[in-house]
Amino acid sequence: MRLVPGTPPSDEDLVAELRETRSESAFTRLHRRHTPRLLKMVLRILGGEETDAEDLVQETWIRALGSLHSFRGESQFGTWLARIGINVTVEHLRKRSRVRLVALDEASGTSGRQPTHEERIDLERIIALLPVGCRTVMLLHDVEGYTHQEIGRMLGIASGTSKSQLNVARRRAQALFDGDRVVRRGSETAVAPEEDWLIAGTGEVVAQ
Amino acid sequence: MTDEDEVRLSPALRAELERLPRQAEPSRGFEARLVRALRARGLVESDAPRLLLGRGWAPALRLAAALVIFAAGVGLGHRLGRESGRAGDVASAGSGAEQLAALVQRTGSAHAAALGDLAASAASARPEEIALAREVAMSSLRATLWQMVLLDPDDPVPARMLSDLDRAAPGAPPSIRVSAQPLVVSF
Repeated sequence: MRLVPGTPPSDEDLVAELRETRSESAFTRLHRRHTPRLLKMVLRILGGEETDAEDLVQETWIRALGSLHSFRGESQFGTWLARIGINVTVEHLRKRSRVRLVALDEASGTSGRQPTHEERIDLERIIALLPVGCRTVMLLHDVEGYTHQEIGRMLGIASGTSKSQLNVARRRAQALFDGDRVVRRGSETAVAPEEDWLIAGTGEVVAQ
Repeated sequence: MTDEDEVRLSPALRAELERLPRQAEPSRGFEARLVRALRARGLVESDAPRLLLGRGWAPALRLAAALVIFAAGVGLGHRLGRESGRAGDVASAGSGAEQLAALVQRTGSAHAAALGDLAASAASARPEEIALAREVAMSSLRATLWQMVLLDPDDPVPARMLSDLDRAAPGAPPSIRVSAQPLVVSF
């Protein structure tokens, strides 16, 4: 496979070139095409830590190029890369034992009254406040546009679990967005075990 | 999402979600850092040699480079030998031989490594590239054996190998004829 000057090569062409010759220019094109989106997604899953995000994107590319032979083109390259990026990010979070359910009512600082405009939490902050498991599902579904089936494959969970996690995230996000005070229920207050980084329980919120 | 039990976001929140930026530019220097990390792991390689030569020529190029180094070493050896003989400087000759022995070791390793690379990529290389590399390697082998005969005329192994090569390639000019005793080398 040879890249033709003046013609934008497809991802498949670049992957083939990279696989065949380890071409640095083919990699650079792929990187410039996919890293900005990957970086934003990783940043949001992390809750906005830029230094970690770039390290994780680098690790994602290292793993992706190391296992390029396993990319068979069944999904788009960007989807395949995002899946690796999510795995890398979730592994990172697990290692750092940061997969905890955030006490939304305390973290958000909201009270029973309607917040003023100045007090309103912006959406990035709301997303960052969501527990990492349901946050990831919501980001993939509502921001990145993946289906539950795709999310299930990416995260190694059932598509039904993806749906339930999305509901948890949406309830919480909506409540925070509306300025409601959020109360957690039952098992959600526990720290998630490393193996089960998704939220247990219904994740329902009650506005007071 | 069409599930009946799906929690629906308000239009305002949905609109905010849609307005969120989907991309973030990495910091300055990130790309260079990333490429360095990938290069260090052998996952990408600079395109410069490929742009000049195309894929498949690298092993032949390395082989040719090894041969050039080898020939330069032989030429240098001859010249040093002549100068040393003229000057009668035994000490200097000894030092030159030591350097040449080291050079032979280095170039021999490079030559063998280049051949190894060629063998590893033989399946994907073009036939004409392989043929060229084989020809170069064979010439190099003959030259090596010939020099070994000169180095030690009493060693029967290189002389016999040269003789075998001549028999295997009858079209090639005979480089050596081996008699029983004493060994006769013809140019």
